[in-house]
Amino acid sequence: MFSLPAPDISPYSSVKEFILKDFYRAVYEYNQRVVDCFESTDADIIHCHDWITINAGMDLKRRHGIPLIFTVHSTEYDRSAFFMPQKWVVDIEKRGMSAADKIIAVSRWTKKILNEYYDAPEEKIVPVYNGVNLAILDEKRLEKKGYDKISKTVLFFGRLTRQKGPEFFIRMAKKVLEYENDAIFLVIGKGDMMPELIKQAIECGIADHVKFTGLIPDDEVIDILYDAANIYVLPSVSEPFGISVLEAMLLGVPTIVSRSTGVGESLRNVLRVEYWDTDEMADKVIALLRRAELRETLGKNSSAEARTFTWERCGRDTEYVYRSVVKGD
Amino acid sequence: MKGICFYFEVHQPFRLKRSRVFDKVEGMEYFDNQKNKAVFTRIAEKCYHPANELFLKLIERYGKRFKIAYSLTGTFIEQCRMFDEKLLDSFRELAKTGCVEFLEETYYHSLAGLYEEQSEFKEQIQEHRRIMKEEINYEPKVFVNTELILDNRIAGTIMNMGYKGVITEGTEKILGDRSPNYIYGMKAAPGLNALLKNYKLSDDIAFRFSNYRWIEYPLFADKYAGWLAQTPGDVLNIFMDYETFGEHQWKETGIFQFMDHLPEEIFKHSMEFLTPSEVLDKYPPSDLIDIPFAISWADMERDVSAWLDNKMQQYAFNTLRDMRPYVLKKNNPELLHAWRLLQASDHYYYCSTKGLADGDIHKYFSPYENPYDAFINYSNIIHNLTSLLR
Repeated sequence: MFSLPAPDISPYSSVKEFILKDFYRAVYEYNQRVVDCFESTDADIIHCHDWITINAGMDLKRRHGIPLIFTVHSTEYDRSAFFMPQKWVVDIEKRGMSAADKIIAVSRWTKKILNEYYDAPEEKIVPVYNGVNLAILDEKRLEKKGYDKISKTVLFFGRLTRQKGPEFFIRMAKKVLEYENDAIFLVIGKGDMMPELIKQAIECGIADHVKFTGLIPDDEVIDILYDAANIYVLPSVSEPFGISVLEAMLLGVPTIVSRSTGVGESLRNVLRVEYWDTDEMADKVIALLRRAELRETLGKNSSAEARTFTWERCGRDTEYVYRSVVKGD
Repeated sequence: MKGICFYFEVHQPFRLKRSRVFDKVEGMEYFDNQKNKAVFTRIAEKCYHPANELFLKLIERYGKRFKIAYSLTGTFIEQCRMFDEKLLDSFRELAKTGCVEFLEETYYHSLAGLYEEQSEFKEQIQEHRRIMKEEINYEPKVFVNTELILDNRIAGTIMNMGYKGVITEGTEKILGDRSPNYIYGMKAAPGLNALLKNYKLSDDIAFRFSNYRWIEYPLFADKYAGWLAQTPGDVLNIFMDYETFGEHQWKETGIFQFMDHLPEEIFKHSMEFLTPSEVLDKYPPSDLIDIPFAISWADMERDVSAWLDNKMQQYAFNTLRDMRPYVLKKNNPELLHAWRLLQASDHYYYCSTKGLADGDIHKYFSPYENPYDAFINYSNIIHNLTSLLR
């Protein structure tokens, strides 16, 4: 007699599960070693980033009484797109937030998730935005950008996972192609969903217009942003921040983001849609493809705005949080 | 005796439906009359009705010594007909007092004055003339262009149409160090005299009245009348949007009480209220002004950059302007009307991407989340209209 295994309803494939188990063990051992090696007596603050380091932070805070700051770059809810989050990871995150003296969230969007899903008190959470690497900016190249040249390339750039919403990108592509039949949709990145997405593109008859590149080197992505991409779309189901949005904007690419993208909340020169509203998304893409005036006005203002998101600003804001937990300073 | 001349702009645009490429709407269906009704009803209740009542009361109280001027756009009157007939009655009642002057402008509150070819502009003025006669039984003698936009060419057109005067912004751009508080002749339009807005005194009420960070806050009628009395000149032109009363400045700010007490304070200083026509009859021009580039009352720049600064706005402006022969050829009154409603300056204003300070004002007036969404919607409709003209 044998019993059938329980049906696999996990968003991760079983192969992935095996690799992940090793990863989780490594995380556990890493945290142990950090605690064992810690001997500094003059540390004023312990600053941990995300659940993979927070266990050590909590332990050290308890032993040495040093204030703990916990930066949340993404939560288990974001990574799972609210679909079957792993409870034990959520628990670690929750314990971390409860132990921390101050929590840094990378956006108000994330602050809201921490408050609503993790019961972290609002007054304990400070949003601090990330920056963008201004070194990728080449003014001369940007000036040469031809907004009126006719190449119709729409870019998706991110991991191909539920969180990033690539299936909505393909659905939007289908709608756009009914009106702009020479548009090209470039999907850069790899991930679990790749086979599913290719199948989706074939089934709706637009495989000729959707190009999956897999992972490509950063400098090539930058070339694409400078020379090829007319539009960048990030339809994330839940995106804590979204540095890629700032990178695309910095290089003058008109950008559409989902309303559930953290960085979008403080940007003026970006188009916003609900991630599931592929009609709105398609309408905006079509307007951008058709009207160079829109591409140019939005693109140029985007670049100017993205420049204000510097790492210096991020550093200053973080320092401010540090000062708020150090006593007698 | 120094004259005080109040003029209020009364305008409502026809806001657009959200129109996506996939949506099949045509002609008059472009306009979101549910939204238009909601906005109109709210503003009528908060501003138009109470303000009209107040001004009627003031005219009665001061036995015709209190006078004001209005410009009602055609699109405003059209919305009165659709949503609030009683409001029109109350403007008719104001007209009957003889203390209220109504001004001429384009029916559509459009930028047609800026078209090189002025026929469209003239037709829109004649359309306004018709509806003013029809609804208010009034024939305006003084012209005010959309948002006080004026240049030499527009002045020429207005002079040739026989108006006795025109209203515009008292900006340093045309005045240099001269004062706006006198009547000026137009270099390019002999015989057409201009009343210039005193923007400082106007904005004290229109923008700063309820700003508690303003050093003069709170502003009371006696203090303001004191400023008027101290300001040298023949006439002080205080021009603003009518919606200042109760809409831009909520009734809780005391704006109605302020206006209620103002005439009394003004009379204390021996100043008189005059309508624009009376001002033009009473005072000869003190000097000439030349307006080679269009000016307006909008934004810090006081030029036409609120509507025509970026490429999106310029595209929309050029495309709509160039449609004229094709629209006329269709000989379809509904289509013609829709095309003209689309020329309302408001639609260009929503697409403005100008800097922070002014940008905030644009956002306050815009039904869109940002100028790009405004343009996408507008250009979809322009695209649709173009397809109808083929």
